[in-house]
Amino acid sequence: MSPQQSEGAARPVAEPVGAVISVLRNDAEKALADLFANSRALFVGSAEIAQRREAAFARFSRLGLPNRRVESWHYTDLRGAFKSALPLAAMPDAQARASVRARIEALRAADTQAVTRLVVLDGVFEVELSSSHLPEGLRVTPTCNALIAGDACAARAFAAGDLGQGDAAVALNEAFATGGVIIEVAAGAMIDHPVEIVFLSSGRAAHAIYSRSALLVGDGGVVRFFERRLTHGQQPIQRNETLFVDLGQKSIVRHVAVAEHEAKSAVDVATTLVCMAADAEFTSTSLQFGAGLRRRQIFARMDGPHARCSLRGVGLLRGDEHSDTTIVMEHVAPGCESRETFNHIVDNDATGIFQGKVTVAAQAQKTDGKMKSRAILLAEGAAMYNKPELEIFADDVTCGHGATCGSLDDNQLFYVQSRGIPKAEAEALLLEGFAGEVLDEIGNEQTRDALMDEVRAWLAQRGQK
Amino acid sequence: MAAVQETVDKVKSIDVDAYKYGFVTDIESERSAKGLSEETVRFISAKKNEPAWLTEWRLDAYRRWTTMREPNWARVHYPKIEYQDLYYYAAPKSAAGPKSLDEVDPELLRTYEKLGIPLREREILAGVQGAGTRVAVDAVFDSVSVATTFKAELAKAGVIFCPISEAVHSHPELVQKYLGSVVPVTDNYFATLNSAVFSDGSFVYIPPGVRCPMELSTYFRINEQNTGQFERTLIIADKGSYVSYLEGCTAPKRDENQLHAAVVELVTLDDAEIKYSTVQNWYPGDSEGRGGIYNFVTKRGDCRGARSKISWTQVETGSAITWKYPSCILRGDESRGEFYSIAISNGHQQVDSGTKMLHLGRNTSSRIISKGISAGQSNNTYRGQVFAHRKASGARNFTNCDSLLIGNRCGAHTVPYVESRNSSAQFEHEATTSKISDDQLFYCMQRGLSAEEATALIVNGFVRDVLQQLPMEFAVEAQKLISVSLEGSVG
Repeated sequence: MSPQQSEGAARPVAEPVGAVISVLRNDAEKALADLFANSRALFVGSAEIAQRREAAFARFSRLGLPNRRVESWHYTDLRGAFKSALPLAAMPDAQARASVRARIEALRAADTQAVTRLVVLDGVFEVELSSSHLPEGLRVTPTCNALIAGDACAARAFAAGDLGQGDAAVALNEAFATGGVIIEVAAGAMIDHPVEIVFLSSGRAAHAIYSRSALLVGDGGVVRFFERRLTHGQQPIQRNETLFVDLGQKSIVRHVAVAEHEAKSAVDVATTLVCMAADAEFTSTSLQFGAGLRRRQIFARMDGPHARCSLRGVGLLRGDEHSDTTIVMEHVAPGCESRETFNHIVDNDATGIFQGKVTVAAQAQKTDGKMKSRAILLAEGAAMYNKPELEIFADDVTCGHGATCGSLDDNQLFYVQSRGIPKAEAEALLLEGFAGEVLDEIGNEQTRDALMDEVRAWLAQRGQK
Repeated sequence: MAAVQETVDKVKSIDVDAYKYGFVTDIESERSAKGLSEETVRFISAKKNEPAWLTEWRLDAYRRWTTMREPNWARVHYPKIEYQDLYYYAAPKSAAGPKSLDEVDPELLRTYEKLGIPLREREILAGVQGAGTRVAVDAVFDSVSVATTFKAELAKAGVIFCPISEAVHSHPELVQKYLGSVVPVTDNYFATLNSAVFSDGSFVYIPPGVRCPMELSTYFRINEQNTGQFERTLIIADKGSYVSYLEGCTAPKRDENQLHAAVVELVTLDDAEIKYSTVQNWYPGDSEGRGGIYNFVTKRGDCRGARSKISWTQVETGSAITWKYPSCILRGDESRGEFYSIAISNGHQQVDSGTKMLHLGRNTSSRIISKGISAGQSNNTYRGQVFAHRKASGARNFTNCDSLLIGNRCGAHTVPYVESRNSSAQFEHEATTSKISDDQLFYCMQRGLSAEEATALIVNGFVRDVLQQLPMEFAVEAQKLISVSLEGSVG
């Protein structure tokens, strides 16, 4: 019997609470320790930040690189994917900028609305590639500058509401990140046009990218916020980028994230940390393509009462891609509402993972939490792992989750085919509908159509094979 | 007057410590030396007069166990267990094995009478007990089986139902073939411990094409202080056979915790079916969380044959800690696994229970219905895995776990793993958590029910799907048990 089939009771999937795991360090972990020790000169920031970095790295040393024995990384073996620790990416030079300029231009050309675009290239904010004009109520500070100047926003971005502190990838990011961009939306400001961060890697050399960005929204602020992850080259890269979204009271953030396909050699960990004050509203819709190893993790906490959080996503995977979406939703205040809806389409030998954990503290009465994960497997070799978790300590709540997994419904397929539509087209139509279900929720039509076009393009590629 | 008496009785019965099986039987017993070592293992093996292969098997398990670490992934917390402070074998003292019930210590028989378990066949035949349904019983007291009823009649049908210690001698070929074939010696910490020191339990073999003429049942009772109970049950349903098996357990009230680490193995061959029902009512500890049984059990069924079926039904109301995941390995094509569970926790109880459905064969199907109810300061976790192997095309699973919270000092958790590696496998999972709504309570109370009665009524409705799966006489008992378990949880 393979370990897969053996009794879970026997399988050590432990995350021992409070226990120190004795980790045998592998080469990558040793290299990371050396890298940290040797890079201290690069770590700008106040003494307080320096202290945070040391503490974060100590935390990482204790935890080690996440592997299957760590419950929250049960299906994604980061330790296995890190054969070594790649060197930190160098500051992008003119050549690097030139190499990606065309990509940025292409994005601009495809814009259907005015967008304030901020480019983070190899983990460093690029003024030259970014929009020069900023709308009123918006303040943009490169993380690096904020760190050097000791700006309060840097401290906030690194503290990030103490979210995800038990996660080794977040700890690594906290220890190494020096770049990124911090966006502040003034209290009461309504930003008309969307603000977009493009996380781009030049892929000119094998390197590691750590960046920390933040979107800090003041009370009553309203903003549409796009996030796009791109890779330019084919070199192996290790990306670990963290974004902190802090919502003030009654603020509204509509977030749309697209993570484009990355090479097989790419290891991409994107963390979003979300803190919500009373009556804040956060909706996030993501379209995620595969990579060699991709992990998107969202740690969200509703600190104030009556906050509303809705996370939705579509995952499109093929080849032998691996994509992991992990969500931890903490209800600590009463009367909050959370929704998670994720649809995956998995083709070929790809692996899709959805882990969602909703926790409800004893004081978070009247919580309303619903989670749904659905997947369609298109090929023999495809796999989907669902782990929707509930952890509830309050009695007056309505919480539920659902998870389904299966192939395309034969009846539906037959219905469409019986209308004279060829099989391949019929499949594409049904799959488009499946993805569209989630993306339809995006209020802005132009944004939604743009994402649907990307879905169609992916489906068309499938038809070509 | 009668009405007054009824009220008095009712009030009396609603005690906070409503555990009615908490008495201790004063009986002379024989124990192994304290602690666990190769000597203890050899002692137990010698006591049972076992063949050499089994002694070796036990020793091998013991050696493995010394290298293993106690699992800590479950959501249960307890002080470290001092395995060397336990007695691994305790048996009521009697000269050799009793030939008939008349030789059994009368004190012991009274114990079972107090528990309402009939060991005397004639009583049942005379219709004294119950509704006249006949159930064959194997009674296990601490480490040994004291009596098995209806043996003769079962033998006529070809059914073997006897203590496993006896089966080792009378049917060594079956035991050697199947023992440890579902739960391997090295499976997990507690199963390995059990393999080393298992004392007694039931052995059932149903020959091909036989439908077992009556329900089989085992009652486990831990009596001695500081002893662990490590029973091992092995049930084999040969081709085309059917058996329904019931299991019940109780223990006296004691201040310290007692360990219970059992292993149950089920094997079904082609077209066979096993229905395994448990009403687990070990002592849960007092209202302060002192004492109670640590129930660390490995239960697994192997649907080895095509079109075979294993169905687990459990009502979990007792134990300080429950760590139990009755599972099905769906190896045969078109085999089916079912899991119906009610887990009730009150006081300081901790439950971490669920199931695993491992789909390996083609067109296998499984169904999981789990109802968790937490009250008091307890924690109740459903942890389950549904897995489809690459080759398990056409696998189907439906899972439904509902949790009910009573009071705001308890917790209800759901941790499902839904793993599909086959595109034609169809898995559905749903879970909800809610509380008993005030509207429901108000409605019932308005009709003259007390808050507790109303709660029991609503809870009984909540768990009805599972209760229906229980054999009749168990369903009635379970229903009563649910009311008792929830006493003191409202108001």
